[in-house]
Amino acid sequence: MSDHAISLRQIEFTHANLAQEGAPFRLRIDELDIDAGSVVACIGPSGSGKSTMLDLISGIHAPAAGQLTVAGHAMHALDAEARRSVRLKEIGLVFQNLALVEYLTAYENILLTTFIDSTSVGDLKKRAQELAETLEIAHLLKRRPNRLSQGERQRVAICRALVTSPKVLLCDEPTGNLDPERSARTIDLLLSAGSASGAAVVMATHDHTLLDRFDKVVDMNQLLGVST
Amino acid sequence: MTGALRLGLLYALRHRAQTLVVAVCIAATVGLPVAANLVLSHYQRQLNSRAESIPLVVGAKGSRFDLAFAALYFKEQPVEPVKMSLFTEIAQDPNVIAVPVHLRFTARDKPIVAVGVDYFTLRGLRPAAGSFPLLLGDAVLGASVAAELGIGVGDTIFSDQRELYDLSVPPPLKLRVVGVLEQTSSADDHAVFTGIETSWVLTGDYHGHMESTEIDESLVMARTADHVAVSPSMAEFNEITDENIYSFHAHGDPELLPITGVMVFPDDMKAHTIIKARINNQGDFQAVDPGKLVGELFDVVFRVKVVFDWLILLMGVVTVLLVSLVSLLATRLRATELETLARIGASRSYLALLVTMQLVISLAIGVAVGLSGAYTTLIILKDSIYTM
Repeated sequence: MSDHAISLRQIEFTHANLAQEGAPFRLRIDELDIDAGSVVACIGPSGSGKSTMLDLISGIHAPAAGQLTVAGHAMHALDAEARRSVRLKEIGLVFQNLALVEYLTAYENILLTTFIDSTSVGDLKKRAQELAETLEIAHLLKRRPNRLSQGERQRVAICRALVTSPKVLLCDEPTGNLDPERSARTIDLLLSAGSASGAAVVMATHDHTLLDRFDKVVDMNQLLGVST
Repeated sequence: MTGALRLGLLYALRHRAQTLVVAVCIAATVGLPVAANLVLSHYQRQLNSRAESIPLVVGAKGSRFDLAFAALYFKEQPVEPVKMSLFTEIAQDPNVIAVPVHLRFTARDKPIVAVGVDYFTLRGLRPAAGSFPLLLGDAVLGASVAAELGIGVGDTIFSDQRELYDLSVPPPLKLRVVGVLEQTSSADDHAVFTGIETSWVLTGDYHGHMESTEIDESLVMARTADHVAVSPSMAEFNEITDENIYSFHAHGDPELLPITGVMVFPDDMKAHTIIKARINNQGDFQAVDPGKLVGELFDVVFRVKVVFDWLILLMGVVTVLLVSLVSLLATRLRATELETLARIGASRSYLALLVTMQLVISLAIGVAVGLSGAYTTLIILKDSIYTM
């Protein structure tokens, strides 16, 4: 078993539905290790496979070949149901559009996983409150997303990703629609919150101006290598 | 399951208009046929049980339905009156019990039903308080009348004024309430019962006034050895008391005074057939079998109901289509939410359950509202058959 939070070896992935110029989408990653507590940026142009790599790590897709270990789980050997269970318990996700559920309050959005798995609701409620206080949105918990600013919505999304105390935090271009100043603030917030929780943070981003904040940068154009 | 239910409830709660539209459609589709069937079944049971408890009604020729509904359910119908002699003639048959009924007046908008005292025994009616109307001017109230008007034994009730400007019509008569009947959940609960003679006081065929020797001379217009002509300003009694009851009398033969009809209770089927045939063959009157009449009535009602059932079925199809459309649109609107849940870790079955839950909640609310509405309709309408 790998000691790394995330470990990819000889990963191959093909997806017909993600075809580019008539050819099926293919992704190959020879080797990539990400340690717990480290923050990694994943860069590359649109269609280079950033989101696909995050989907592989989160278990939404399964690799066709290779070994993929996440938080101690050999994801390549698990079926979809088992990968889903790992995702629910061990992985936090922040989406590009934040994907808050509009009819739920901020508090209910943070606790969205409890609507799927309600086994540890009590602990998660306590954790949600702590995170909300840390990210200074405790006073906004009863509001619905349409009454929150963009920054407040981002904090709610980050709280939701971290509420299960995940070992891995995956962020898919969370600053995609933001101006540079807000992007910087959001990434600082994500990285500090992720690091504080001890999670390995992997962030897909277009924004090359902020790469100095990351421990590692994975360039999807150089799939066989990892630049640091 | 509980998570999907909680999320489904929150969705329904925070999309009230959508939930309400679907629920109302379902409520109407479920509620209308259930209400129609409940009310119709109740009416059928009530009409049948009463019709079957009174085997024959005899009265003037004309509409069979008018006669039966007047005699059984105390509905004021345009029924030609018959003479009391019809009752006397039928009552001479040793194989039947005959009860005269006279229905023409009201007291505080409740029908005054004048019957022979056998009616109470034959219908199994018992006084909850007081006694049956044995004397002229006595009245016994149905349970609902007593409750609605808030009067009981020892109180009085006036008959309603019929013709305010016609001095030849007797004024309202003050009736003594001598009894209140037990609840029967039938037309009897909604009537004011009196004796036949009391109804004749109301028609003016029976009346009471001072003895000619006691009349104030200023009211005497002419006097002979046999007759006294008095001024119209001499009032007749409008209340029957212990003091004046013996002054009430009919000018003429009581056998010629009017009644609405005669309820006939034959001893057996043979007596039933004989009396019915005899009366119908005489040609002057008709004997109708209320049980058969109600059967005929419901045959027509059920034929009409088939059309109603088809309409409800059509409405059901439209509702299913509408609910499907709303669900489809809602699912499309929730696509982002469903994708987020799937990416976080929700299974396909969970997502299917969540989408279904929205429908199930609307369905549950709709069915609950529909059934509640149907039973409420029954409660509201169940007694209306006796009053409408």
